[in-house]
Amino acid sequence: MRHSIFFRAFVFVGFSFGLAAFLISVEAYEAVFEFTRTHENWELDELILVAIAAFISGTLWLVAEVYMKILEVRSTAREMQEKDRELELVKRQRAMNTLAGGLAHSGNNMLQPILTLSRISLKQLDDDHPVRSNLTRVIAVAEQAAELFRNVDSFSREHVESIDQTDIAKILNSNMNVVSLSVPPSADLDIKVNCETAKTALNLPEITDILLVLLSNAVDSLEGHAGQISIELDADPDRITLTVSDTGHGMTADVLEHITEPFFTTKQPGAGTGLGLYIIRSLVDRVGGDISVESELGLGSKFTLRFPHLT
Amino acid sequence: MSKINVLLVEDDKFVQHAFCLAFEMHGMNVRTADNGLNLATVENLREVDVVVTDIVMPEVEGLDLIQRIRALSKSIPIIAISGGGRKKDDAYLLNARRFGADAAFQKPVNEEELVDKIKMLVL
Repeated sequence: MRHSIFFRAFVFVGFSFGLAAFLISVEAYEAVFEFTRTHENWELDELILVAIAAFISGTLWLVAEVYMKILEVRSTAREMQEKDRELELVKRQRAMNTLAGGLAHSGNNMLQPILTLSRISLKQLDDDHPVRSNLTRVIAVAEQAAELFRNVDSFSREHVESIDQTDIAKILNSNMNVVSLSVPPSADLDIKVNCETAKTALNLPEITDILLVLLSNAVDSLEGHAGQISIELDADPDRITLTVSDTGHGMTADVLEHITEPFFTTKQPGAGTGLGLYIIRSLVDRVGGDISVESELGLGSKFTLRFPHLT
Repeated sequence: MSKINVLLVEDDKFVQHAFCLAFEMHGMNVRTADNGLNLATVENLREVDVVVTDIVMPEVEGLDLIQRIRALSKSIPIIAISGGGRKKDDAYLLNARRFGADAAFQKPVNEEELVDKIKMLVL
């Protein structure tokens, strides 16, 4: 077992002082002094000087190492504190989600008889019955409440999912067909997965959305002509890089500037919502990644997405 | 045409009453149960045309009930309904389909939609 630096430092200093005390007790210094003076042998003096120098430099080295160790311990403690805080946040978020989810569940159960019985009662009333208008309002408000619970529900779910992990490498490898199915046979699709795993903090539907939006944009850019679409996935311990490139019509610098803005589209009315790349940017932003686009008119486009790699 | 016999399994009395009324207004016979306990027997299911069941219930819950019914009969239509609101609830509805439910709804469901689905599955 390797002893800690503190223990080794303690032993070194203790041993040095012990040795010094021993040498003093046997009057070694006086003996050496006498010896060098009587024999005029100055080499011994130099030897003692070297020993003292070695002792001082050894001590300095130890002090430096102890200092570094203290810094390291401190930063580990800080990291652990940070992790604890994050864990605490996740726990609190989970508790909130459970609360919100439970609330939505009970609310939905309560709204069921309110809505059903109100609608049935409304049917049983004559057209000019004075209670009708009030009952209609009850139904309208209950429907608003149902909408509210749906929002609470999806809100609570969204945050739970943000601590999910999805492996893009696994998706690209296992769902090869799903990805290729969205590409027409006229296009030549090339998928290169250069890593074993590529875990992101996004969930499966989100990753699928990202892939499908990028692919459908690439397909659209080929305008039905033959061309090449390439997907490439790389990962190092810190970052995941996903690139989707095409040999389609490309974009002007002017278009490039606006492509991730909401509702911006160059497609025919009805063909695109202008939300695809906006949603991608929002998802990428949420997990602390970034997106960059290179494009040349008539030559094609290349979308590069980078995500932090979860390990 | 004979009346449709519905087996309604729901632990919430108010929801049970509301669905019961809605089904009966459409000329259906409704038998109710508070949970899936002792329900999945050949005798119990003999007269039943369709099962409408909640998912989260005490004793024997919906997914379990669906599996037990499917072990007895592959053909009897089953509709699953859940209150939603929990992360796993989507999974519940999905699982209900996986375990053999023919349709799955999240509350609050429009009773007309439910009646249409029952008619579609039975007739």
